[in-house]
Amino acid sequence: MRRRISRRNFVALVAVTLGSFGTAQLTACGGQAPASVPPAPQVTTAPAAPPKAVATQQSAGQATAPAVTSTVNIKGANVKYLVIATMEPSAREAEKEFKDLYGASVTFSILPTTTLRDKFLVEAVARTGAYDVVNISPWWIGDFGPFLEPIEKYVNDPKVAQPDFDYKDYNPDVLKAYCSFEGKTIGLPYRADHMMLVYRTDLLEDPKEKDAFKAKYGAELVPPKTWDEHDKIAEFFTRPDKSLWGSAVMGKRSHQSGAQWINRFFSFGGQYFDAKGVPTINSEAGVKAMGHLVNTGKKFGAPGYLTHESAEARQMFWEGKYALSEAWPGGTVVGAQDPKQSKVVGKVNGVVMPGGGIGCGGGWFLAMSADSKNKVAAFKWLELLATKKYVKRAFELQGEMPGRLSPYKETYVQSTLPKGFAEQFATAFTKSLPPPNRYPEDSELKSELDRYVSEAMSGIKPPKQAMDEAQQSWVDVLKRAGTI
Amino acid sequence: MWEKRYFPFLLTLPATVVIALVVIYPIGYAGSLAFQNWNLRRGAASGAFIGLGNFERLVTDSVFLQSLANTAYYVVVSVTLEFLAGLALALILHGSFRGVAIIRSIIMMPLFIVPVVIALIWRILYNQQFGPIYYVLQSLGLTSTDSQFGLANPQWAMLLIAGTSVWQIMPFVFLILVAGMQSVPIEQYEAAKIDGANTLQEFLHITLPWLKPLIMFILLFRVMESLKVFDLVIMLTGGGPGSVTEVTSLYIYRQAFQYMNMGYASALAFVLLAVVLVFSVILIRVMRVQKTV
Repeated sequence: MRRRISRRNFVALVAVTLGSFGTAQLTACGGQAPASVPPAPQVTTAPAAPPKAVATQQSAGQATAPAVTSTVNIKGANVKYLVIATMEPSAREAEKEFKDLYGASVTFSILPTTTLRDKFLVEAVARTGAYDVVNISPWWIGDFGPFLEPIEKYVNDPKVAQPDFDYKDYNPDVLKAYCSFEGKTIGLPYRADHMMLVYRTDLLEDPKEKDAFKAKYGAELVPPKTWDEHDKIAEFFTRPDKSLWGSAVMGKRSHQSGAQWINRFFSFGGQYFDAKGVPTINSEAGVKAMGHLVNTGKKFGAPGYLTHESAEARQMFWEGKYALSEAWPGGTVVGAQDPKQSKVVGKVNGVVMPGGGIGCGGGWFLAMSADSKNKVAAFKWLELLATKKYVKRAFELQGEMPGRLSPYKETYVQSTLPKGFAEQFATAFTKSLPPPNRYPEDSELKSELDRYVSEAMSGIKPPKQAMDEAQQSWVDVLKRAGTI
Repeated sequence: MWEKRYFPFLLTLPATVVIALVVIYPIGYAGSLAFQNWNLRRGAASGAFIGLGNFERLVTDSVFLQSLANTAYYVVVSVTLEFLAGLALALILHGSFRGVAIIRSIIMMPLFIVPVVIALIWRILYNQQFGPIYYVLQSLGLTSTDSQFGLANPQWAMLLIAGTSVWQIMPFVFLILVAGMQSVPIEQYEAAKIDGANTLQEFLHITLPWLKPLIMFILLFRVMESLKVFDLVIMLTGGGPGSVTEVTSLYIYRQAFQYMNMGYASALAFVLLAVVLVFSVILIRVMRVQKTV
């Protein structure tokens, strides 16, 4: 006999069923995602601003407004600018000048890093043209490349481009690695940040330490140029009884652990893909890089390094607990000079990564949406933000390392940073390489790499097995996408 | 006659339309995506119909299968411990004595903290460098300096996440059970005492049967919620070490919003949905039983 269901029970059934559907969907759609959801790829650390006194003193009288010499007329235009919060102050200054120079306005949309990526991607895929100019990480080019406007035609148009902008101030290799998609330039470097080897000068330049090091290893104690030298120095300074460890390692499963593998991978001669686009990350270089990273953590990392991300590693370095640190110097070196947060003020410097200087690249660049409804105005805003004047202001106000090359020879950069650091940073800028950033599946490739790096570092799998499985995972991802 | 039979349904029409638009349509849309190979970044062109392709893939997806196992482990451990801890506290604190209100208020505090903040608090507590837990254990000689401590340890990571959940959710269990205990007629205890029952017998034969519907509700509700755990995991471990704490909702999130594989993510979400649905049906039945008791 069929049992009749009452209306009340029917409503209850529908409500609970839909409720469970809804909650499951919310989960699937990230509805519970906290504001700080992680894997927003790449993003390095937010740089700390240089001490205010320095910034104020340096900015006085040095900033000059660009003269309007292009004949472009964008009066009344409104540019919609999607920007991460830390980059806002200097852009606000530029907004006033944009209005004075061109009679055009800017509408800011300020979002945290991770939200910015998702927000822009959704708008870009829907082709809404909701944003004209956006801050993009070079790690996201695979995601965003098809939705960004190539800028060559604006740069080469004398009616549009600013004659004194100095486009030669950008290194072609940097433009190719960080701001190009399918052979076209899709933006301009804005904030440079790439991993460097940061070290404690009070340790590496201490005469007593130098003598002891020479006695033990028969070599000079100087910033390392090879990974072997790195290991000796890290070993020498690993002194747990004095709460000092050799080299900061970020072992938590995150993009930071993958970035450290990349630091080694290129220096050991690795390449992500072969000529046919097939992954080659389990090459001898890949396995060696993984083994070296695992050993670095085991031998020279402080207890708990397997739970550390950049914030923890940086904090420990600032507290004087590490001699060396593979770090995003935009935050670590500049921030180390702030006595409010650092115990190693004036005792920090950095050099390019051992083994040839190819560290993992990051940072931010400025790009235009291909669906912008006002592309000339968008370009002029992008151009204004990238002028030497506002690159300088971004450094002074926000501590953002310039995406141009010439500032590294300028006093305002050199006097703020440790001696010789600006040159090392500029060199590393031209050599560093970001993670794979050519395919829409890049985020998945990076995430898979992070997973297997984490498994190897935690001892779940030996380095060879981890890299073999990572390789297979990359192959599977690209096969599913039809790329290989 | 017409009015009596159909007019009530007509009144529900506005709500039905809203539900259809904001709940049923998205579900239907997600359902259609589950049968497509659609990557958001490759645009509409990638949205080819692939039949059961996504479901065939998930059956052989080792990370997904591991995430299911991880989720099941988390659900069993966290729900069991939450319940036992909440019940124990409720038994201790359901009476009235001096200071009980203050103690109850303190116990309730984790319930009012945002889960992300709870995760950050415990991330610090578990930290091997800065955290007090490691410091105490090391002082007692219970752990060594070079061990993988806390969340870095593949054997312990999921257990510690469950432990954090216990701290967060136990007040909820406590609250409901205390309310249930206070509604037990005092005459039943008095009668039991006259019959010579001891405290354990009172608990087993009076308190527990009285609380049974509430306990069923708590267990099922918490199982449904725990199946969707996301925020604690992403904040505490990010799914690591390796994939040891990768739970299903986190994996779905990665597929949907990191990798933009909307088709595959929808298929995964429907599997999770099916699991949650089973428990929701059980919940409905239990609530019905509770109403008729």
